[in-house]
Formats: sequence, structure tokens, C-alpha cells
Amino acid sequence: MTRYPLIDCVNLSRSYGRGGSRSRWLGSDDTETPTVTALSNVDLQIERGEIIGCAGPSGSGKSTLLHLLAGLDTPTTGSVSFDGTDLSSLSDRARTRHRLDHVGIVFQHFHLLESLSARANVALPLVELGRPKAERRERATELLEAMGLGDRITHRPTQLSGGEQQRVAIARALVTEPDLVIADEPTGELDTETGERVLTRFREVATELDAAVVIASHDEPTLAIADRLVRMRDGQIEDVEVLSGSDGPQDDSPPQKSVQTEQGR
Amino acid sequence: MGLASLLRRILGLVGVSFRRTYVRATQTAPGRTWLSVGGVALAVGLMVVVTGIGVGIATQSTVYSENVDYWITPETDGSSSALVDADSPQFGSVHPTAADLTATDSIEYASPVFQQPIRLETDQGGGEYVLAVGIVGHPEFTEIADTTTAGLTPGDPYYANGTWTGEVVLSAGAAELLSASEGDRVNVTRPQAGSERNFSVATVDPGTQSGSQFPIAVMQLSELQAITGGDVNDEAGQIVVSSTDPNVESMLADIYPQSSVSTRAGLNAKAVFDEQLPLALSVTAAIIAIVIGTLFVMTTTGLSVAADRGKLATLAAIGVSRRTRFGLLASETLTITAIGGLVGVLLGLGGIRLTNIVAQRTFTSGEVASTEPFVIAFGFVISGVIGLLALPYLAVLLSRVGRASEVGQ
Repeated sequence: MTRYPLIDCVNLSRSYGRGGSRSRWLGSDDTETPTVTALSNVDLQIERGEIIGCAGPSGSGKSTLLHLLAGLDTPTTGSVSFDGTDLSSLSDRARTRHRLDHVGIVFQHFHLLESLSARANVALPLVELGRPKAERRERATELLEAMGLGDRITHRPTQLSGGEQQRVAIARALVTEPDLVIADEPTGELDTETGERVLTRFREVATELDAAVVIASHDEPTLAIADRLVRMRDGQIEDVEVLSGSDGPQDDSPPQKSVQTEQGR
Repeated sequence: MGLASLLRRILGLVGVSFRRTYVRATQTAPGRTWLSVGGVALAVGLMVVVTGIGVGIATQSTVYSENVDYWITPETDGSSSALVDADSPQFGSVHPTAADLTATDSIEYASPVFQQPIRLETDQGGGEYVLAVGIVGHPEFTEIADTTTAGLTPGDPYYANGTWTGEVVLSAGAAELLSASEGDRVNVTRPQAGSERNFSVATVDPGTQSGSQFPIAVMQLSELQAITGGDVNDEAGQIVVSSTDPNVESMLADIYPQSSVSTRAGLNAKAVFDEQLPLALSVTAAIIAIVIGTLFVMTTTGLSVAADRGKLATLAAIGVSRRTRFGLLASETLTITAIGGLVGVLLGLGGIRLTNIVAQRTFTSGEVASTEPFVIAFGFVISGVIGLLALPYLAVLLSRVGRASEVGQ
């Protein structure tokens, strides 16, 4: 039986139209729409149990790459395969189900539903999965307690600080025990101690669930938890560094960058 | 997905929907939520008022009582029948027919109802026309046409044994018109009335029901027939029957050819559908309410979806299917329209009451609009239709906005 990498990106590119003057109502279909290339010719493989850090300045293509890996968007050219399945070949409905079953996403701006409590936000994916109410409540409470929010489970997002909202978003991403966790600036709103606790949790997820974790961040200490660090610039992978001491926060010593540099894997 | 899992998913979805609706109505978007409720409520409320007026118009010509269950009435367009014609079709031989019905185990009592305008005079002089209603009294038959029957000797003695009672029960309106009170003599001015046909006021209705404001005189059936010539064929315009047995209806339908049987629940609805004007009023009001309500809900729903597109995109991003997202929005929309329907029905009932108050203080003594249970049910049905008609638009909106790729934009 062939063993595929969990994620296999091949020649991945994504361009966006800028709008221009295209209007089919006015009969100007032929007008060429200006485009911007957010990601260009990216090759990357990610294995189960691996934590990938993604660094780069704003506009370097980190968020676009994360969206493509999560199946939120489809590439203009190239492919993203998940466990051997090309995500572009899936229908919109199948990609939605794929995200529910396999992907947990931590958005940079959390994107919690403000009308629901912290626990209801975390349990929401389990509603879609048809899990019993008792299990939903138990699982969501357990994760929120693990995130240090045991006394905030009935609070709504507007009643929580930015850091607390971020931890709720992380708990929501982990509640289905996904195969792939995508996290965009997951520690941006957290103090050092809480940030380390969250990163430790990511490492546990990678180890215990054999899941891959992809973290995009500007914060070097956060990225230090990664097994490999992907540096991006102008929509391309500049280099990939394998970090030793990748146990991250579990080690007392600061992580050391290895001298090994590679393109993809 | 198994049935249990699907059920849990739906219940969870409904729970999320209710929480979202509650928080939106009370905290995050109260203006938009209550605007939707208000739009539906206004449309349904106006429809309830107009339909109530339609029912009022349709039932004004019907003599009926709240303590009888079936009405046997002649069909008005028969070309040949055993019915005796007198102004409008009348039944013949009504006394033995009603007696046979009353003798039936499943029937509590039955009474013919005969209506004729007569002129009554008091000893003080001055005559007034009133609507005379003749019945066969029964202890359980306590009111007819919103006027009490208390004071009438049961069993129609003049027909049974020739004893003339001369009992007349006056409605509050008739007593006021004639300046008559209990015990007063009243004389009937009709060609057939002989000198020995004296009447006295047995009871004056206290006027607690709206129909009692009309000038009505309730008397023994055979005595009214005697003074109006109805005794020749023993005629009456309808027969009312009290029974709790639903099987009675088919039996009643067979008593007279070319007659119809109405039940208490069905009478007013039937009256609306039998009369063209009230029916036209009700249908027009319903269509306008549906169109206005649906457009209102579609507009506010569109605003809500536009405002929530980020949240919808988030739901899509975390793996919530489009069907579930649609279900979430649909149940929120239906909840809002149901609340709108409830508020609208209450508004409509208030509007009907206000209409009647204004009408009674300006041009009539009776009620022009009626609050029947089916009018209330109609209001709820219309609000449901409004909600359902808005759903396809919701589906179209959802196919265009709130895609997973929009998250974070």
C-alpha cells in the first residue's frame, strides 16, 4: 500500500483578479482583468506528526498557502493533495466535508460566532458531525479547561479578552481531533506563558494524534516549536530550515537552527 | 449518517439557531430583527382585521347560537324540492321533524328557527318593527341570536296542546326601542293576528352579547307561525341541533332533500366562502399580506445575510455544510416570521376590537368584524407561508455569499 505524505503541494500557484472593468452586462467580457500572483510555484510536502513553521513578511503568501493547504481555496495552477487525494478534484461540498473531518483551522482574527458562548463555539463542528449533546459539552469543556478557560465556558466572545478568544478559536480547531491543524498567528494575542501552553498543546496534538500542524507567524519564539521552518517571500518559498530542538517549549534551551536548508522536502 | 446522528444534528442546529436569534433580537442586531418581526406583524395584523370584517359581513345575516352544534338550512338554488317557499326557501312540517330529532338518543335537543319581521306595539302606543324569532323551547336551549330564551315555556305548548302562552323575550335593543320592560303587554300588528293573540314580555335580555343590541323578539314557534301564516305548512327557515355525536351530521343531511348541514366550527368559515364579497376581501387581504410580508422578510434577510457573510464564511471554513448553513438561516427566518405572526395576530385582534368600537360609536350598534378561531389560525398560516416563500431567496443568497474562501477577507 502506497504511503502518501499527508500534504503534497506540487507547483502550487494562486493568482487573484483585481476586478478591472469586466462586466458581462455591458458586453465587455473580453476586457483583460489585471491579476496579482499571491503564490508562485510552491512545492512542499508535510508528513503526519510534523510541525511546520511558516515565516515571512506581510504579503509574502503565508495566508494564501495556509488557505490552500486547508482546502479553503483552490490553486490557479498546481495541486494540493491530502493523503493522496487532490483537493482541487473535490466538489465544494466534498471540500467542506473534508475540512470538517480532517482540518482544524485557527484564524488570525479568530472568527468566533459572537452570539454563541465559548463552549457552543467550540462544540459547533461536533454539531455538524451529529455527536450527542453530552459528548459535545464534555469535549468542549475539556478543551477549554486545557486552554485555561474553565471559568469562561459560558461567556460569549464579546465578554472575552483577545487572548481568551484566541484560545477559544484554538480549542474549536482541535475539537474534532483533526489530521491537519492550520494556525495563522495562533499566539499573537497571548502572553508568553499562555503562548507556551498553546504551543505545547500543538506538540501534543502532533504527537498523540499523529497530526500535522502548520503555523504561520511573525513571532520567532512561536516558530521555534516547528520541526521545519518555511521562509516565504514574494509568493515563493525562499528556503526551508530543519530546526533541531524542535520539541520547542518542552526544552529549556532555545531552539537551534540547523545548517540544513532545503527546498520543500 | 445514521438517523440518530441526523436527528442530533438537526436538534443541535435548532438550538444554535434559537440562541443566535435570541442574541440577535436582544443584543447584536435588535433593530434588524424587530424590523422583520414588525413587517410580518403589520402584514398579518392588517390581514386579520380585513378577514375579520369579511367574516363579520358574512355572518351578520345568519341567526345562530353558541349553544347549538348543527344547523340544517335549505339550499337556496334548488329547482324542485319538498321545501315550502316563503320569501326564501323554508322547511315544512318542522315540529314533528324536530320532535323526532329530539327523541333520538344522540341528540340533546333540536328546534326549528323561524324568522319574520313583525310590528310590536306597547299599550303606551308607538309601534316598531322587530325581527321575531320563533323556536321550540328546551331547558338547554338558552339563547338564540345573542338573545336569551329564558322565560319561554319549553315544548311549544300552543303546538303541543293548544295553550297560548303569549310569551315574548325581548332583546336589549328591542326593549329599548319599545320602551318595554318585563311584564308589559305588547300587541302584534299583523293581518293574521286575531284579537285573542295577546303577548306579554316574559324576559328582557340583559344585553351582554353584541347581537342583543338588535331589535329581536324571541317567542314560541307555533305562536309566531300563527300570527304570520307560517302554521299552514308548519314552516321554519332552519333547524338547530345540539349534539356531541359527530355521526349525527350525516343523519341530519338526509332529513330534508336539498338542504345542507353546517357544524359550529364550520359555519363561519363556510359563511365566508359562501359569500363572494367576504371571500374576495379575505383572499385579497391574504395575497397582499403574503406579498408585502415576503418582500419585507426577503429584504431584511438579505441585509442579515450581507451583514453575516463573514460568519457564514467562517461556518463554511470550519466544515459546516451549505445545507446546514441554509437550515440555520431558514430556521432563524421561520422563527422570526412565527414571532411576527403571533404579534400580527395580537395586533389584528386589537384592530378588530378597535374597528368594532369605532363602528359602534359611529354607524352601527352591532359588531362589523368578527374574531373567529379560524381567522387567528389563518394569521399563523399566512406568517408560515411568508417564511416559506422567503426561503428560496435565502438559498440563492447563500449560494453567492459566505463561501469558505471569503473568510478573512
